Amino acid sequence: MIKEIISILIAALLTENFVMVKFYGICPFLGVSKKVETAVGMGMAVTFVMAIASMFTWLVNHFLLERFGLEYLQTIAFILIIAGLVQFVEMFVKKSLPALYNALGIYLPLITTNCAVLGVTLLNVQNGYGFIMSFLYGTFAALGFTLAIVLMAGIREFLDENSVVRSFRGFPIALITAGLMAVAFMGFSGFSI
Amino acid sequence: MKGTEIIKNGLLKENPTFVQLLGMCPTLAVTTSLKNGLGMGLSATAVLIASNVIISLLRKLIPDKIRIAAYIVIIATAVTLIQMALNAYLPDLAESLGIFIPLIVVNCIILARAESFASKNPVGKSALDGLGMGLGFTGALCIISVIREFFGAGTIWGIELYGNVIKPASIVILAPGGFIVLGLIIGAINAIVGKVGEKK
Amino acid sequence: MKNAKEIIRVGLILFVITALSALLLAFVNKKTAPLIEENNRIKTENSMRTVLSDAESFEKLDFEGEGVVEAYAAKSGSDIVGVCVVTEANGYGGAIRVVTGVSADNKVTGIDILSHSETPGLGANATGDSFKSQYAGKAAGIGVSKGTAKDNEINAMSGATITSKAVTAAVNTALEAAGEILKEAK
Repeated sequence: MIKEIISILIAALLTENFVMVKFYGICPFLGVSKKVETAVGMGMAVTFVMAIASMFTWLVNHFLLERFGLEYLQTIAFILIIAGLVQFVEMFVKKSLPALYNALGIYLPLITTNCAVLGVTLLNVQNGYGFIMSFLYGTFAALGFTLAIVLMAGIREFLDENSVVRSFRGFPIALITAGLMAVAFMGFSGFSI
Repeated sequence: MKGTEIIKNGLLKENPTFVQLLGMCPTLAVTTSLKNGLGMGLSATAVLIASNVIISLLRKLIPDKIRIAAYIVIIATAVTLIQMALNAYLPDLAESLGIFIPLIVVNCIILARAESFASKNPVGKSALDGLGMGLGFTGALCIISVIREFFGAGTIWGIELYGNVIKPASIVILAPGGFIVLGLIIGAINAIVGKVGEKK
Repeated sequence: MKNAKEIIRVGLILFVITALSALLLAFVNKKTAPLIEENNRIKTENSMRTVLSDAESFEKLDFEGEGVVEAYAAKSGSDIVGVCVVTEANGYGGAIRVVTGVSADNKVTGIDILSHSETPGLGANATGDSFKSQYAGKAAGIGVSKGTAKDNEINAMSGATITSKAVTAAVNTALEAAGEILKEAK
């Protein structure tokens, strides 16, 4: 059991990193990675949503959809749960952490359309994970996302101080940076216990 | 705006991938072969047209407060329908796109068009907007996937081109290649159009 | 009170939209589900015919095991000539579903990939004959080699070791399951 958990942790953080290897959650990864501070905030908000969403969707899938043969409603049910959760997080952050709320701006409600969140809930079902495994996988995958976005923000803070070819400023150079980071993450592939 | 203009808008001026930079996840994930890129593009186009039409039809009935939730339900329904159709009639494509079919739900392009166009325009125009944006997305995916498939696998549409002579650089098909090829394309477009990237 | 009324009205509209969506999906699901099942059945059957060409008919067995999806007894007339086992293992892009043909002396007669989401040009090459044919004649406990394959080993596809290992794991699971089934049949 513990060995299995550690191997999922390694996979979610490094070898199958949600952003760098599997291409989930690219929009916020590129959009909110200009400052380390906001990147950390975004990572935490996404981690919270992904962990809770993994549990909720497992319960709904197990006790409602599968029991009544309604698996074809999975996508709708899951996305509604996620949208509700994000709404809740938004209200919470707005009230108690206004500075973070302003920094995250438009990207906070957009967690709903962060495909890492819907992706992880669907992967939980696909991999046949139980309740605890779903929760752990959701959390670990989100930590992988946080790792990638914080690293990226760290690099981009320096990138801003360099002169980049004009047409590559901003988005294109960010993508190429991400590509080079992905090469580094590839170095972990095959690493397991 | 005339019909042709709406389509042109989606294809070029406001191309969802290269100009608006929306829907990046599928753009990077499924462009490993032209077949996948085209399949994903057309599936998303179908969803985009369907959701734009339905949302435009219902735009006066849906209260402002719950509009996002309503849009999401409508989009998720359209996506599930496409998923069922693909599984039933094109099982091979459904398999290779895998989880990225249900993930069309969270493709920002679709929600963005619902919010900024279909909720304010009549049905006909909304359908055209869906078609234009969808084709713009499809076109972009095809361009990226042709490049990645050619350099990364030495094939186009699965047809072997030079693999026997020179070994293809498989990194182009792996994750890093996705990021770098897209970055190069957008940079090149900026250079051609003369658009200066974000100021520092 | 006005506020409460408004909430109820808004809630009702959302409910109606969701209910209509669910109804529509239920209807379409009813139409497509049998088609999807039929597709899968035909695909599995075709694969079984290629991996175990001696067999005339396949009879589904009641067998459960970890990683095993389905198992079939391959018959020629009323004789059991082998077993076909459908197994799953996790590759690079998700689950890989493999059908393995096993002869009566518990050796692989052939394998086929039923479904996968591996990277085209790399892991997806597992569907090619040059990779699949390596498994023919191997017995339980097949290993994966990155250099030259020794006895009971297969050569990994270059750049797709994870996929090669996953397919091998699926085949090994199938061989174990087949061993149990064949033992019972005797």
